[in-house]
Amino acid sequence: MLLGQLSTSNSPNAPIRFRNVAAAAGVDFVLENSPTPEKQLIETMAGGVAVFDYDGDGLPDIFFTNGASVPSLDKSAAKYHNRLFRNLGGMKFKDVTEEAGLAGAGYSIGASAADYDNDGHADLFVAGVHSNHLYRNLGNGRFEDVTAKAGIRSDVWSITGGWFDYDNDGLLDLLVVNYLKWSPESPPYCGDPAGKIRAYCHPKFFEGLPNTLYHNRGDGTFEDVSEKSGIASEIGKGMSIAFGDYDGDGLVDAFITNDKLPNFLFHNLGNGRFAEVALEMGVALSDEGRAVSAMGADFRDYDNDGRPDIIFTALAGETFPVFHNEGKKGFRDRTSYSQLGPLANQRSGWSVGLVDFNNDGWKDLFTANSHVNDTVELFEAAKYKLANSIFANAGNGMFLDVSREAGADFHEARAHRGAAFADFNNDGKVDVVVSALGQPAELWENVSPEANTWLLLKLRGTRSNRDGIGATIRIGNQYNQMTTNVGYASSSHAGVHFGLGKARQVDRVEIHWPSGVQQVLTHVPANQVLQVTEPAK
Amino acid sequence: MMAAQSFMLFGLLLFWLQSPSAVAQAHAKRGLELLQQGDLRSAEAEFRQAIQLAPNDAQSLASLGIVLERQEKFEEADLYLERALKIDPADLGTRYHLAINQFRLKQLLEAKANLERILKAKPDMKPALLLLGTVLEGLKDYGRAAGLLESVPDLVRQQPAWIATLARCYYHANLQQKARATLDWLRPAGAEAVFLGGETAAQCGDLEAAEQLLDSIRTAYPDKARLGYEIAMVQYNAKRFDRSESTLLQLIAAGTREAKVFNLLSWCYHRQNRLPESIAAMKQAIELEPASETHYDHLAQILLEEGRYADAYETIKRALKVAPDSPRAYKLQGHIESRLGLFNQALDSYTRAVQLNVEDPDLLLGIGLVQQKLFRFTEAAATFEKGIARFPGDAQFYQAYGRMLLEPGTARDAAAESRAVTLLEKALALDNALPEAHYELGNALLERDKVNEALPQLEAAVKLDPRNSRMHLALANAYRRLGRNAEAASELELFKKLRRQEEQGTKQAN
Repeated sequence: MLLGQLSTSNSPNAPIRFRNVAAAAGVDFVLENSPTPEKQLIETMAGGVAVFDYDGDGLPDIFFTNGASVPSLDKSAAKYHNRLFRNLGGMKFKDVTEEAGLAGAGYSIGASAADYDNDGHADLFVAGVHSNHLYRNLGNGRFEDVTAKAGIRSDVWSITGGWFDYDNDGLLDLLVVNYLKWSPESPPYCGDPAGKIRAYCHPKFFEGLPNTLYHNRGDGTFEDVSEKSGIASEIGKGMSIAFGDYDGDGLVDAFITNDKLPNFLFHNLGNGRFAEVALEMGVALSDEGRAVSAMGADFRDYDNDGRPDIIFTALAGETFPVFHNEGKKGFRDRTSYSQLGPLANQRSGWSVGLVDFNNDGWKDLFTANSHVNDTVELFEAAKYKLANSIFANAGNGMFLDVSREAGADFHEARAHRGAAFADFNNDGKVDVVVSALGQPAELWENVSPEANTWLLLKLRGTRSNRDGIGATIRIGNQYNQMTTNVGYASSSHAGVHFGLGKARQVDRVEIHWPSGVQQVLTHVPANQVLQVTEPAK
Repeated sequence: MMAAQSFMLFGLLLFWLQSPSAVAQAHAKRGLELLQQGDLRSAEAEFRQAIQLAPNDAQSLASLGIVLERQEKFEEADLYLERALKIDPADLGTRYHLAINQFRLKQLLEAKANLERILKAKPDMKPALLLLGTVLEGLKDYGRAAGLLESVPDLVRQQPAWIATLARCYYHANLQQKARATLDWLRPAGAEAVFLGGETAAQCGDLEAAEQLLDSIRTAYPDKARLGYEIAMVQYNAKRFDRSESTLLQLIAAGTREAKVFNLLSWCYHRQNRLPESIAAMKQAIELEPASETHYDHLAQILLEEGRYADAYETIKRALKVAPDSPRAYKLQGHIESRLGLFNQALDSYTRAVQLNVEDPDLLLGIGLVQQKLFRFTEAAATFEKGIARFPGDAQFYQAYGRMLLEPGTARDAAAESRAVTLLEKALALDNALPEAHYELGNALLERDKVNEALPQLEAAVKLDPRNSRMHLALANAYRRLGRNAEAASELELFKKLRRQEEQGTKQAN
């Protein structure tokens, strides 16, 4: 079978199976969030994960952010160090934090990887509470903290940073998502004062912040263009960022979720400025006009109509909202129709990813679950610790909850936070790494039984940025893009994956590079990692 | 012989005098005398004896009914008056007394029927005309009531209460000037009558006339504290919070130490966004009446409105210590707990409140809404069904049930959607001015791609609740779907403006 009109012809019901191989793989990371009786808000927000091939050996490695002592916000002990695990192959990992120089400083939250200096080595941005860090990959297994030199120091609470080339100049820029104004002194008392049960405070108790956009000058430094780009004109309580060209104008737009505030959709106007159009496009709020606790987001085409859609997680009772891209009419709230309304209503999610786990040609949905409040069960029907979820794409705009069948150990409830996605063992099936507060991280090896085929494209930009971030790729009805930002506080720098069903070959692969170059590959055999270099024209 | 004859005559007279009817008449006669003397209890005893001896004597039965009615033993009076009328249905006097008694028992329809029967037989019976006017006012037939009362002006003018009744009829018939002119009849009757006039105007929302009437007796009215409080209440209801505050402070300066005065002063401060003073005044009311639940409830209510949920919660807990079986306090506690996100606790509070008061539909509604929050959708549906069965005329239950079925988090199918639409339509049939029902119905139709049908519902929602940002957002979405981009943009601008105001409000509350 050849692949031209592939996706819709495939059965979307192939089973999805995972097994947690973290311990066997040597991924022994425990997220130390330093819980306190005062219920400092930062404690429940930690847990970013980044996946990227830091040593260029073709195997994705794993980086975990970690907490710090509270209230000092110092990584005063080794248990607070961020950790880098090198992928040795065969689902084995080795802790290389010390030699890489990535133990970090401060209370870290999110991580985002990309090759910002186009030297062929993926670098790392780590966002945190009152301090962000940019680590340049020196290409020798070590990283250098270039925060000060790059000019991106921050003293606010950032959740994550998103790499994209907003002006298509071939250099990746950085959009930092800031959360809210917080200090460890005198946290407000929230919860049940009568019952003396303390809870993490609603974000309304804190002031919001604008986000920060840094323009890459190309000399290792960045210019803060937040004001002049229009990004700083909006005050939010940012939780995650996802990129997509929603209107197909060749310019990457940015979607930022906000905690209990309307979300932002920054439309890239192409002149160095952005217009915030979330309301106009219908993604600021649910159809009921409700601002939810919007957490992690993904901005991808889930129904293979060629337009990127938006899905994000939220807390119990808020569902996991689904916004379908309807072209010129903007987005339409399809939470109910997609079935994610009832399926997710009693769950609370953090990280999220639209990934084709069973390679059937339809992107499925993984959510890393837990409520934000560890005392929630005393007040509500919601649960604090939850198992992760897998929602299989039914191929008709709807999702099916297949978590129950996903594996014997898939049901373990934890306080999950970050999640990142990559094919760690090069078997063509995308695996997942998930962090959990106070508990060991999970490494979910994808052991789905169906022998569907796949294609993983790893882009190398020449005129565009080296990572090809912002490139869009079409195979048959399927549409995907190169982005590293996905989920909550997390980053997946692992190529662009396509499930191909039973196809042994792809007739045509269309790549639209950020530079404007269009590239077509034909007769591409399935089941391979395909390195694609941007042509000169 | 003579002696024997005399003895026999005496015996015959005694026999005659002691025959039941004669003895009954004697008791009845004595009863009437006592009634005229105002000795109601003795009169009642005499009539009871008369009836015991002559149970079918309509006059005695009616008389006993009247005596009982005058002693405010209305239920029993009703029985005797009815019995009298069964024997002599044509007795208009007894029927009139029965109508009075029924009026006192609030059996207005029955009173109306009897009065109409009397007036059919005797159309110019003025007391009956007056009473029927009063009864019809109670039945909210204000136009006819006013006409009847106008026909007996001399009688109406005799009693301040009847003047007030006629004024109320005018107010309800939107004849404010006639109402005010009628209330002016009270001025010659003295300060107490004018006070009644002020109260009447205030109850009917004519706060300007109320304040004028009350102001006019500032010197003449003996109870300055009562008058001052009434004036302050009128000013508060007229939203002249600063004036009300000033009146209350004058009262306090003059030595008034009544809890209700500090209570109202607290509300005045609250409405002027002076929370610390509001709290202090209500605490003063609590200090003056520590055993009264009301002041705790009101403090909790104020704190709730200010978004001080934790403080409100603590206060309502204190209210429940004072009044452990107060459904009102449990209701407020449930409301505060819902706001605090303490849904398990809120369910317990509302459930307890319902146990204490089954008549308040809001309590049952609260249970249903909290069950929904706790994902107990089946139980919530049962609660809403129960509410519909118990309060079939209350649109809230249909609306809440319909909303729940349309929640994105609720599993739904075509049947559930149809049911939701039916419920919302029923809610609107009961009360077409429910913006939320129009909004939900509009959104449901929008979801089903019936954009053209959704539009009028959403437009109605916006018209009914123009300050609600969500309504404008939904309308903008509908316009966007129809490609009416300019209108969509305009609605979005309104949404943004209102949203900013709402956020500002929330910020202030925090």
